[in-house]
Amino acid sequence: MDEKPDAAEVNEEPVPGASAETDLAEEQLRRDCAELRDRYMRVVADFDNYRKNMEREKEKSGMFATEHLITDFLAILDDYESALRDLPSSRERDGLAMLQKKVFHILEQHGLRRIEALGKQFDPYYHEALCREESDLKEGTILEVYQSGYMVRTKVIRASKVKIAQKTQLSEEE
Amino acid sequence: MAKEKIIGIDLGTSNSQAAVMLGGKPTIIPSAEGATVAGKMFPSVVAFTKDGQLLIGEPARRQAVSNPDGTVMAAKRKMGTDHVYHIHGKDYTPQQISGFLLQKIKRDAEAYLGEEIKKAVITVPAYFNDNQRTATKDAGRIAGLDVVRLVNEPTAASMAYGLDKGGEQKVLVFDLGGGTLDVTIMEFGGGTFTVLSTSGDTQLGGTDMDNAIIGWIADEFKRQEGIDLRKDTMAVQRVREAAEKAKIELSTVLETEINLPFITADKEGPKHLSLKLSRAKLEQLIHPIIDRCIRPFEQALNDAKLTKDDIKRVILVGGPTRMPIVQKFIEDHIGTKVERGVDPMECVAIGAAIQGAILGGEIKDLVLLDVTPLTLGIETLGMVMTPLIERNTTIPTKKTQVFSTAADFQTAVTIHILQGERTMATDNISLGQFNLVGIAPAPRGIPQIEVTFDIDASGILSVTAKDLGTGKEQKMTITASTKLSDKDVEKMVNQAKEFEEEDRKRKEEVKIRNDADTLIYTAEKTLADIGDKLNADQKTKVEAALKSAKEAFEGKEIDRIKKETENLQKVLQEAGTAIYEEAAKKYAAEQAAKEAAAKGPGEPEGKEEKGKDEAVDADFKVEDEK
Repeated sequence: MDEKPDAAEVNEEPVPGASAETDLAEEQLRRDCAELRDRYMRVVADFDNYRKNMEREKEKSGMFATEHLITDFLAILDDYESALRDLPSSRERDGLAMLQKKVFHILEQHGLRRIEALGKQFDPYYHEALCREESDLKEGTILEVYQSGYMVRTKVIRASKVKIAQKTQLSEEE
Repeated sequence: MAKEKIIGIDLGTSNSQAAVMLGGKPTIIPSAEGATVAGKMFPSVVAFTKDGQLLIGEPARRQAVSNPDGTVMAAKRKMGTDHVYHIHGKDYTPQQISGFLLQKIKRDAEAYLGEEIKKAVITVPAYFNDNQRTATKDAGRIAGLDVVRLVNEPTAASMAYGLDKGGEQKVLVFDLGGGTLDVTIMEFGGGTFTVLSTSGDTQLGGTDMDNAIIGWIADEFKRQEGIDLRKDTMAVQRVREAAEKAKIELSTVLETEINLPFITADKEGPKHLSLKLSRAKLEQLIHPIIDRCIRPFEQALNDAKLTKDDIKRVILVGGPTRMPIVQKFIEDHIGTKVERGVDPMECVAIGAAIQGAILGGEIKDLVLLDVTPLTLGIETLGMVMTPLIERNTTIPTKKTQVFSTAADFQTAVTIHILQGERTMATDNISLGQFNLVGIAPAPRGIPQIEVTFDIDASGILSVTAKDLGTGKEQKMTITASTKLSDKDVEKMVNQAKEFEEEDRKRKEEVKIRNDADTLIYTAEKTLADIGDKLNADQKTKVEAALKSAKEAFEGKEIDRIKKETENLQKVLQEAGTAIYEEAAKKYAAEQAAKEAAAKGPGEPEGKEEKGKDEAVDADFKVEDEK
């Protein structure tokens, strides 16, 4: 029964200041919202990437565990090599040779490979030079292997420790 | 578009490595040759072969002996000088050599991350002067990297341990690497680290320790066999590896065996080396090396005009600092415990990565995640605490579990919220409690009360209990459930460890009592439901067993309760079996098996637990976990 205040009039001319504030506030909210959404998306993405990375790492670490075990076993292979180097022919030596072969075979099935060195050309990706010796052979030829090198699949886990041929002083090239 | 990643690089004299923030955690970037058991670093060696090939890292190191004129090591020592390397007719500055190392890091990082890397933070020793720092930036430029910041190595190490989040304090960084010792004292305040003094020894490190052990092994062997192993290159290799392995092992065990069969031979035949090396003996062997650490230590303190009591935090950097004797030396000389939690071989790179992330704006984006320091749960049957959220769970987080009533026709449950690691509710902290009423009357174990623990990012815990039957819900909010001091948390965790055995026993006892209680309830119900199906003999047996069990239950002898429970179980099963046989006969005769027969005995809930169904509180019973 009361007349409605001139609502239309009241609302037609927005009160200066109040609406501008509202606009600003709204603008700020929009910005905040956009920023939060962006941040959220990043976190989701980061998490997803992290998860994928984790899966990759898990797979690698499975292989890594084997690699670690094989690397530890190299000391045993070294022991065998030493033994066979020094023992004179005997049944005992034969037995040790068989054992060595067997151990190596098992590890081979898990990816172990011995690096070829003796007589080959030195390659720092596979061999480590401990010393040089003058020789008539081509420079860089591996003269002696102090410790065998090994790979697991395509990765070098220990380089062969070798002695390489050095040009003799008499040669003039260079 | 993803923000540009800024990697952190530890460009060391002997070894280098890089790290980057991944998923909010600083991660070491593996060298392309892959991680070796020696760690993820690669040697700071650059070489040019006679046929013009450029080698960086491990391959360069491996051919150093065969190509001394073409191999450069420790170029870092020449940074900032006008030294020139003449290699196969070409000239290189130290910056250029370091540039090659950085190039390798850039390549490896790009392969690992799958994106282009243009910016980096590189660490430098605290004592580097302007020329040395400029040279380092140049090296980065040469490698195609924009070096957005140079960070002091001890500062980076401190950041890896989060010291930049603490208050004002004086920090000592003890960096013992393969060949050098650097001691740095810094003051942290106003958000920055200020170097107060540096000292060191450029001829002291882990290599000296290895040599001491090798020397001892060779001397022992000579004493025993009269042969000097040092003359046999092959033997020396094996001894060196064994010495390194032994050294590392002795950081965790007190004694190890050095076992080298067929190490050498003479005309008498093969010779074996078998020695026991104890940690005590090792410490004796390297004692002179540890002693040499004292002077730089005291010098740094003097130069900073401080005493050891002024030092609040001690940071360790470098592989050899993992040895207990090194840590003990430091703790004895300083009187503070060393910081733990970060690999001393990785902390410099990690600190650089953190700095890179801060500069790249990544840290701002990261919600610094908190964890709940102690386990949260509720009190359940037998006055035990049933955990819902384990300690160290990252928050915000939510966990729900369904419980039930412990007594028939129970119409209200009390949710008593607890925090702590002990088994018994009274041994933990009570955070509050509330009741949920109006549960429809039902036999015990039937109602489903869903309890939810919800912790928001601020650490405010809301606990809600909802009766799934009526939909009625009650809730309680607890603030500051995560705001315990580190000391309090540690105390409670230690207490839990101390009382672990005791708590376990009590938990076991409660379980036995609860099992007994459940079984008695079931037995009584069975008698009530189908007692008339049992023949007189069986009925008497069940009644007798039930009576004994009830009597035992009233008492306190756990063993007796257990025995009686098992007996009652057995008797019920026998009775059940008998009934089945009867029924089978009847079925065969009448072809009408009653379901009731299947319901009663044969399903004593107490015994056949599926692991999760523990009978619990005066008010609750766990039914299943969500």
